[in-house]
Order: sequence, then structure tokens, then C-alpha cells
Amino acid sequence: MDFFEAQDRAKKNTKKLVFYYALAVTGIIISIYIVTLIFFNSQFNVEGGEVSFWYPGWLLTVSIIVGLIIASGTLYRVSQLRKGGSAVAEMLGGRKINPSTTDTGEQRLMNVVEEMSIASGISVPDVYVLDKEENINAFAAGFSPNDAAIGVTRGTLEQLNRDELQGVIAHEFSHIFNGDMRFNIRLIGVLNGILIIHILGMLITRSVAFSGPGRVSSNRNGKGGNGAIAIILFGISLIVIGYIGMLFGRMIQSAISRQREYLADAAAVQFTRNPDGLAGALNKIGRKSEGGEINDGHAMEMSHLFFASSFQSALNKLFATHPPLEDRIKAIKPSLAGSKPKRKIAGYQKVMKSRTGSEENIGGIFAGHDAITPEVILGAIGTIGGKQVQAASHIMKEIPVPLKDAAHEPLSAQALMFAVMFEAIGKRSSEIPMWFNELAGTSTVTEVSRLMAHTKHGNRSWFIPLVEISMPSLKNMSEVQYRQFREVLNKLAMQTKSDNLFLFALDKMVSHHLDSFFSEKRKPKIRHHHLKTLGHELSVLLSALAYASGNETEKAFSNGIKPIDKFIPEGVKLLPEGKCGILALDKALNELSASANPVKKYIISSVIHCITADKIVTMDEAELTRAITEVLGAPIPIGVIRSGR
Amino acid sequence: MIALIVVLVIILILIGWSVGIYNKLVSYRNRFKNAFSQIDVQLKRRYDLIPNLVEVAKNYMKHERDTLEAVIQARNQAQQAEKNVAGQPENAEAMSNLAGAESQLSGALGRLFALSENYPDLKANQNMMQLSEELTSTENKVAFARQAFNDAVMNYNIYREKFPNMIFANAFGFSEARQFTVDSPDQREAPKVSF
Repeated sequence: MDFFEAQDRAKKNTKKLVFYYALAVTGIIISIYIVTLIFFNSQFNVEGGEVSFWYPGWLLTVSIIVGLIIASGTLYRVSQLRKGGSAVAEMLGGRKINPSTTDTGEQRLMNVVEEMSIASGISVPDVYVLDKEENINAFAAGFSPNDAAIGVTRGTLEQLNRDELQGVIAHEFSHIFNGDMRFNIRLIGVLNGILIIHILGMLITRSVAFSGPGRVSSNRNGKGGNGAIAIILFGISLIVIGYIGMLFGRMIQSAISRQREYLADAAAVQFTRNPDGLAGALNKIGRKSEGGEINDGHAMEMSHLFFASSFQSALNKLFATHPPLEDRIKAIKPSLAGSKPKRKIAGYQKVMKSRTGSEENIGGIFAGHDAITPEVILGAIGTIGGKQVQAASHIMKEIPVPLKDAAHEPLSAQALMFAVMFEAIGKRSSEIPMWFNELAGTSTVTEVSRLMAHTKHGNRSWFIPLVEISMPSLKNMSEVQYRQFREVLNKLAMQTKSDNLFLFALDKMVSHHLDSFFSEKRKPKIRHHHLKTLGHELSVLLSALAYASGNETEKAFSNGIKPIDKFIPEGVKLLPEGKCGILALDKALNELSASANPVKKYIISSVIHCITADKIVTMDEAELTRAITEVLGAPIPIGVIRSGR
Repeated sequence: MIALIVVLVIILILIGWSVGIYNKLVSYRNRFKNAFSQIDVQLKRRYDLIPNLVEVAKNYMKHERDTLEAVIQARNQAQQAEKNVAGQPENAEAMSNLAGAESQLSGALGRLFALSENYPDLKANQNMMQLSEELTSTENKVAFARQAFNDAVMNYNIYREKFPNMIFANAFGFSEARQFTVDSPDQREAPKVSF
């Protein structure tokens, strides 16, 4: 299963969810209809007249009202969480970790997350701590890798060692890649809609019971008393109906969630190549009497988000959102669970089979450039190989501390962006243009020239990782500061006029990642369901890549065409270099980004075939691919490529 | 019955609406709290730098004990004020205390640097140069983070003061937040020119 299939499967699951949701809503409507009729009959039809259960008008009224209430509950919660992972994290009481934190536990967590991000080719997500939670647990939330947030409890920071923490974070990253998060947020909305019936019942019961206790008791014989009691009974039946609905919701939640946990565990082992870490973490959770319990009020509703079960119920088997810890440990590390592995989990085996095949080869990217085959890279999208994590951690160690520190602090982070830009276009600190000094402000300029002393001796393979780890700090700017930063960035890109690919990648990463954060810009609608409409765009994209690959332009281009040969329209050809410059490429990429997942898969496949035609992935190619990655939303683990030659 | 249900639906909508406002307030408040944590880290760093700076300066500025002591005292006060704010930047009083203490500290440091002009040996000291460079850099970072914080506080206050929101804000205990402004003549930002 590859990245795009996983994303599409998540969509199919969403359809399943919609079906169950409709079922639950229908059930609730019918139950409420029956209950109201029973009350109506008992109130006004006591003399034993004809009892009918068919009033179409009333059924319609009930359907509309109940439907509206449930829908508003669902839509409300989904809109509340529309901001993505950070909204979920804050709802759970999370505190965003400051990238420049001095707390050692938090620093370690940031390092682990940064390594994973660089290895997988996504920008570093926001990281949150749940300060009040002492047990070990973690979650990932968001709509896409772009707005993802990862959260861990205080207990996780304090009680796990680095390997165990890495296992947990790898598990969460696999949720991000599997497209589980979008589905999870919808599930929260669905549960909330059903829950609202329950809450409504409580409100009715309470308001009547408390507003007129005297009336209810003293007026026992009168009609009013009966009415009040009837209303209370009605409220109670709403509570019961809502509760039963919730039980069904929980069952959907747990059935879908349990499967995914095995998949994520398997992926985590593959990412880290170290089953001990994850198994150790699971073991530590198992040894605590409270397990991974979360005390926050939202824990139950969001339990399918967490690393380990966040609540315990009497009906554990039926409603557990996570498989039993022992089974999970057994699946990844049979020896640690103590007993002999009686049954292997089917899903786990399947994943391991489909993944381990390519895993060994992924390492080849770093062993030497000659081992790259397109199939290997394609298989690696949305996964991380253990060696890539190592390579990422190696790069992180290589980058001088002042540069890393700068990436963790907003003022310095934006200065760092300018510094690497100047470095990429080969300007010395003495050559910084006058207008830049005036536009950027003195404190930024001071920082830029300070940082350029370090980037001067830098390796170009540091630049993309540095941009990736700067993202969380850049988000700490205010809107006003961001607008100013963008203005300078744009002007810099315009003024240099050079077709510098790093500049282009940087611009794409910043604009895609941060523009959506600072404004409410929505994603483009899908306009292309096949490649036929994208002829010109493909010509531009592949030509640009072919020129970036160096010597064998023709060969690279024709290699890129190969996997999509049957699907493209006439006239896709190698353009002259002037026709596929940065501006043309930018336009083409924007158009390509509005295509459906299967189409994107072909585009990516073609891109990868193109850059690997000559068995060498140059820095130019890697940077351009990173820009494409950002726009198409497919994490290609190519950022850790070394510019060895 | 229908009337009752209509009333219920209206009540539900009202509840949903007020919960919406509440959530928005919380999210605005979280935003400026996050922004403060950025200032906090740099302030702490600055409080750590200042004693070192004074220690170096002491060896040269033997006759300026008062000024040096004033710096240390202002630094201690500011540090105390920072501790009081740390967990709760929404507390307006603690925030204005911190702003006051920070203004004092900037003033004291300003006097120290002004006096250091009279001691060429001190200015040429390698340690002193490095420390004051680091201090300037930290101060720039504080200023930048403070601007982000103040923007976030402003957004929160504006949202809080809009008409129906204000009623809920007061009921839920969302008080007005204070911006972090430090008044010091020589700390003004460089003039920005845009084309």
C-alpha cells in the first residue's frame, strides 16, 4: 500500500462512516418519533381510543428537528476543529512547545520530531504538551501533513527514554501519512452530533426538575403536574436514546480505530528500525495502573486520536479504541510479551510484507547514489526508512549550533531564511543590497549578517532541513510581522531574477505552509481527474526537471514520460530552457496541484523517473522535488540527500 | 409541543452560539499566551547575561558602583516580575508590573552603557564586546517577540470588546489583557522605510 492508496482508503473509510452516521441518525429519529407518540397517546388518549402509530406529518416534523439538531452539533464541532491539529490540541488543554525551549525534555521531543520530519520530507508540525496529564500518551491531529499537530503528555516526556519516545512519535507520524487524521476529526464531529441529543435530554430534565419542583409535587393531581412529569420522562428518554446512539458511535469509533493502531505500530517499527523503543513505551504504559488515561473532559470523545487507550470502561472489549497492549507488544516484539506469539495479527503481517521488501533498498539512497531506483523512492513516499532517520539526525548534528538555534526563534528564523537565500544566490554579507537593509529593519539585518558567517562555510544540503525546522518558529510571528516578512521575501525573489531552484523551493515551502496558516485560504478544488488536460503543465514540469538533472537532458525527459506515456495528450515535449523557467513552472505546479490523488500519483511517479534517469540526484533536483512535494502534498523522503558530488 | 421544541431549538442555537464565542476567546487567549512564552525564553536569557556583564564591568568601572548596583537591582526586580507573570500573561496587573520593571532595567542598562563610553579599556575588552553583542541580539529578539505578543493581545482585546462577545467575556471571566510596552527613548525601533 502506498501513500496515495492510504489517503484514498481513508476517504473510503469516511464513506463508511457517513453510512453509519446516517443509520444512527435514522435510528434516533425513529426512536424519538415513537417516544413522542407514546407520550402523546398517554396524555390525550387515555380513554382507550384508537391508538395509531402513523402520523406522516409528525414524522416529518420530528425528522427535520432532530436532523437539524444533530447536524448542527456535528457541523459546529467540525468547524471548530477546521483550523486543524492545533485546534484539537488546544481543546485537549495542550500548550504549544516553544521551539527555543530550555526544558531538556521538551528539547529532546523537538529533536525527535525534527529528525522525523526531515527524514520524511514534511515541514515540522506544531508540538504540544498536555501539562496536566501524568500518564503516558500521545496523539496526532490535523487535516493534512501541512496543519498537523503532535501532542504528548507530560508523563511521556518524563518517563520515556529517547528510543521509546522516538517509537511513539514514529507511530504518530504514520497516522499523519495514512490520512487517519482527517477521518478522525470527522469522527469527532459525528460523535458530537449524536452526543447533543443526550445533552439535550439532560438539559430538559434538569431545567424542568429544578425550575418547578414545587409545582411538580404540590400539583400532583392537576394537569400541569402531569405535563411536567411527562416532560421529565421525555427528557430521560432523550438521555437514553442519546446514550444508545453514543454506544453505536463508540462502536464505529473503536472498530475503525483498532485496525489503524496495528498499522501505525507496524509503520513505527519500520520508521525507527527499532522495535524495542515502541515495545518499551507500550510496556511502560501497561505497567501503570491507569494505563494511558487522560483526565481532560474531551478525552473520551477523542480517544481514537491517542497513542494508547485514553479511558477505561467496563465494556472494554467492545468499546476499546485500541487493541490490548499485550497484543500490540506481541505483534511488534514477540519475545518481550513473555508468552509465545500465538497469533500474528493479519494487518500487521500484511504491512510488514508490503513494506519490508522495499525497506532495505531505501537505505541505498544514502549508501551511494547508484542504488536509486524509481520504484524504491515511490514506495518510500509517506514512509520513513530507519536509515533516513539516521541520516537526518546526522545532518542535524552537522549543522552548527548557532544556525539551529536561529531556526528556533522567530526573529532569527526569518533572518535565517534570508541568510540561506543570499547564500544560495552566492551573495556575500557585504553585497546585501541597500533596499534590503531599509525594508527588513536593522535588527533583522544584524541577524542576517551574523548568520551568514555560519552559512558561508555551510553545506547546501543543510538548507532544506533548516527551512523545515524553522517553520514552527515562523508561525510565532504575528500577522503584521508575517506580511512584512513575505514582502521582503517576494522582493528578494523578484530582484534576483535568477532561476535559482533553492529560492523557488523556499518560496513554495513558505507560501504553502505559512500562507494557509496566516490566512483562511482554502485548498484548491480538484479540477483534473486525468492527465489529458495537463499536457502543457507536464511539459513544463518535466523539462524543468530535465534541465536540473544536468547532462543527459533528453534522456531524463524521456524517462519521465515513460510511466505516463499512455495517459498524456499529444504534444508533451521537451521545451527550450527559456520556456520552463521559474515563473512558468510555478504556474504549472499550481495547476497540477488541483488534480485528484490517482493523477498526483502518476505525476510523482513521472517526476521520480525523470530525476533518477541518470542514477544521480543532484541538489538542484532534490530542491526542486521538495518544492513539488510541498505543492502536491506528497511527502517524498528526499530532503536528506547529500550533495556528495 | 411544537412550540416547546421550537423554544428548545432556539435555546440550543443560543447555547451553541455562546459556546462558539467562548471557544474563540479561548483560542485568542491561547495565541497571546503562546506569544508570551517566546518573550519569556529571551527575557530569562537576558537576566542570565546581565550579572556576567556587570561582573566584567566591575573590574574597570571602580568608581561607578552605584550604577552597577542599580543595574543588578533592576535586573532582580525584573526577574521577580517575570516570575509573577510567567504562568499567566493574561493578568493585566502582573503584566504592567513587568513592563515597569523592564523599563527600569532598560534605563539602568542605558546609563551603564553611556558611562562605559568613558572607559576605553572596558570597551576594548573581548568579553565585554561579546557580552554586549549578545545582549543586543537578545534585546532585538525580545523586541520582535514583544511586537508579536502585542499584536496578539490587541486581536484578543478587539474581539473581546465587540458587542455581544463582551457580555460573554465578562461572564466567563475573560478580562482585558495588557500589552507589554517598554518605554525607553533609546530602545525605539529603527525607522522603517518602504517603497
